[in-house]
Amino acid sequence: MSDPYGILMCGVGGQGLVVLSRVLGTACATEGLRAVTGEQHGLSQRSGSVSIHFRIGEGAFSPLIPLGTAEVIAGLEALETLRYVEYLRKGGTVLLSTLVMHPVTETAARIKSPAIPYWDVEKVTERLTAIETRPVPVDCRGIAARSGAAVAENMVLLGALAALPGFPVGRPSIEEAINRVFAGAVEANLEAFRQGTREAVPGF
Amino acid sequence: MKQGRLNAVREGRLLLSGNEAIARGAWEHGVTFAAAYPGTPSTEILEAIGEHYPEITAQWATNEKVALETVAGASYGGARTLSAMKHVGLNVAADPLFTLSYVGATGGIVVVSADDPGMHSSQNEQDNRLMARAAKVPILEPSDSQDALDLVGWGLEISERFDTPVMLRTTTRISHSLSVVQAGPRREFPPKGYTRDIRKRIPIPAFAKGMHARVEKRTLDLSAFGETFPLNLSIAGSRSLGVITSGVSYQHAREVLPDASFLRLALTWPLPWDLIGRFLAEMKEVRVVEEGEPFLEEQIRAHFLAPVEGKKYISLEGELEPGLARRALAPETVEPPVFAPAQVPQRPPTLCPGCPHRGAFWVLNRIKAGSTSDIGCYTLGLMPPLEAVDTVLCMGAAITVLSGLEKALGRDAVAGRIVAAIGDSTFIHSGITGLIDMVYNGCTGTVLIMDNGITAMTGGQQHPATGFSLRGEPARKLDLEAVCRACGVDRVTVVDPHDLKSLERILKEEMAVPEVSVVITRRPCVMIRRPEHRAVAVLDPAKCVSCRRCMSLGCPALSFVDGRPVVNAMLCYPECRLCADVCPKGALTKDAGGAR
Repeated sequence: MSDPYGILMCGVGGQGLVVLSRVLGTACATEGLRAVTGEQHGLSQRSGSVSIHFRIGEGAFSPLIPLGTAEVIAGLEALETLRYVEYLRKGGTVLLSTLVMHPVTETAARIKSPAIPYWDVEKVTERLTAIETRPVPVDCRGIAARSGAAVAENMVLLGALAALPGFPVGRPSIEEAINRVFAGAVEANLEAFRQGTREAVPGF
Repeated sequence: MKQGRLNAVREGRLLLSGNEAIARGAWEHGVTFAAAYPGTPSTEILEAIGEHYPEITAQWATNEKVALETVAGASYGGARTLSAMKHVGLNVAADPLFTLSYVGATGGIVVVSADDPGMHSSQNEQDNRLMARAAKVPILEPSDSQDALDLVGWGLEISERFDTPVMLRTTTRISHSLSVVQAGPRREFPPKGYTRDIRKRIPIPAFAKGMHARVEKRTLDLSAFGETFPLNLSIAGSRSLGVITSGVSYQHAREVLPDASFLRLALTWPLPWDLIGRFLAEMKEVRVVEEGEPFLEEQIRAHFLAPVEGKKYISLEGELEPGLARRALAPETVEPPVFAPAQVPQRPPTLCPGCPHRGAFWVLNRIKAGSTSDIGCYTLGLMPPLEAVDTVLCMGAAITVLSGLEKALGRDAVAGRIVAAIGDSTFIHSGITGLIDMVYNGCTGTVLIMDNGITAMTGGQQHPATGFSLRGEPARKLDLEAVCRACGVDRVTVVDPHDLKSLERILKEEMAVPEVSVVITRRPCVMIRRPEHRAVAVLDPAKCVSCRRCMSLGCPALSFVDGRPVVNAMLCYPECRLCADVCPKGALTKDAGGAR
């Protein structure tokens, strides 16, 4: 494990990355861990590519993760996960939601040339494997739906993160943070988080 | 999120963004009045104050100039005050700022300028340290959330002690970075009350000359104050390389050069010359690490005629990040990339599924008209396939740029070809004066006020025409139609921008009329309206003739497979039926939405 422990979280504007980072950060504060993040708000939130840099450890000063140093890429959308792979350190882990949301640019190209197939999660994991990373696909949306809140895909991903070996933040503090941060649907979010820790990473 | 339980009353270790820390700092240090106009990356400051700190009277102002002027008034009354704006917002507030610098502060005045190097959500990269220096206003720059909280307190104290407004200058990576702060209790500073003092508050030339002399002396005093200011940190390390830096650049640099000596300045104008001189004397080599303009570098070079380098290594463009800092400061430690950049389709920001603006831009595109546009979500109308935005300059310029085009080229150059497109909040911010000008000077153009009932791009803030205050309390609702009529516009029409046929008819009519007309396209932003049903557009493949007309909407909920649209049920906005309405064959339907 590296210090700082870098998590590059990514997804599509509106998927709940800011809340995900808030919950994990609150848990870090509870545990007395130094944490610093770099977030995106505003323009890019409108269905655009979004990322949050999340760093934990005594060496975490800059809010941004240097390229090639992140311990984990955690993506709420498959294409976005691949987009940010530059940040991953050699031997790091890639957690990716199996969800694919087609950007309008991809669709525009398909309107001109309908024969080109869309990207799918298999193509993303193939690429990730080809460059020698360890992709761990997680059905965040499906798991969230089964735990009673389809929008809690971010908490499923957080559960999967928390289940990684050597993850520096304890599950009890994360559950406490979920309790604190969410105004409603606390139980569904907790359940999504727990399902994430249990179901998401059978490989570990 | 119920951050209220977390932030409002608790003390001790809290995880706060820079913006939330500024709000917390305002609360802890006795601010009683705050005003702002939303703008990324500053918006959450007033939102957090509104949400968590009822002791502070907080309000959305109609624009940044208004915000700073109300803050000036509150300060005259002896209240501790704060105003927040994005960097370009300070341009709007520049008029009060420059003279408020002469007048000074009775109750403390902190003006937050949230700059946006890298232009994550902005139209330029201006470095407002230059603005503050031009206004002769001291500048404080935080390097993390703790600094942000503390510097609000220092800013208020400096403001009152030196009788000056103070700029607290953040950048996106401070405003929108979470880090842990030590939060304390509130100290009360009740407003001291208003005392008439015309020599202080009326800058007629006879008085203003004295004011200017006071400003110049103040600058010298502040420079001396900076010599021992505890947040100007001198961190001893190796003497072979010293780094002078400020703001978030300090965080990047200390990671890259863990062994170097640092002079981390928090008060970056006026500069503490003795402190810097000692640092220069001790170091073999000194680099200045700063984003944006060579603000510190030029001052230090000019003062000491010393060969300090900064912009030789660090770009004037974009934001600094650890990789760039390493290449600039420790190139010998740069490692080869681990992974090449992935080749993935770009995902630019896009109008949301169900967005009211999509209908308006689709119609403009259909009638081959463009728009002089403005700052807001609707700027995204430039993107293909809608491509109905021609120009964007600054808040309010949609209307005035159209006027100028007509004045230069005549009515035929604009009529039927181009309209002004401006949002409701932007219209109130600075479009109204342009509309009055347009009527007064005999223009004939058509103005679309794209009224989605909220300040949308910044995340959904109230404004005078929503009928609610910052804290969501009912407020007198501004009547946009009445405003337009009062400006002298006789032709004011309101239409639902998703009623494509009516909008097309109205636009053609209004553009043909040789007088100023206003078309208010009114439909609520999808971010603020909870749909009343869960309908999803459905395709009947037997009826689809692959004409692609639905795809001309550029809706993110539609993809295109085997020559036909595929509706993403997760993204499809229930109360939008644009794709069904444009489908010429009735292949796309949306039942629960109900036909108009």
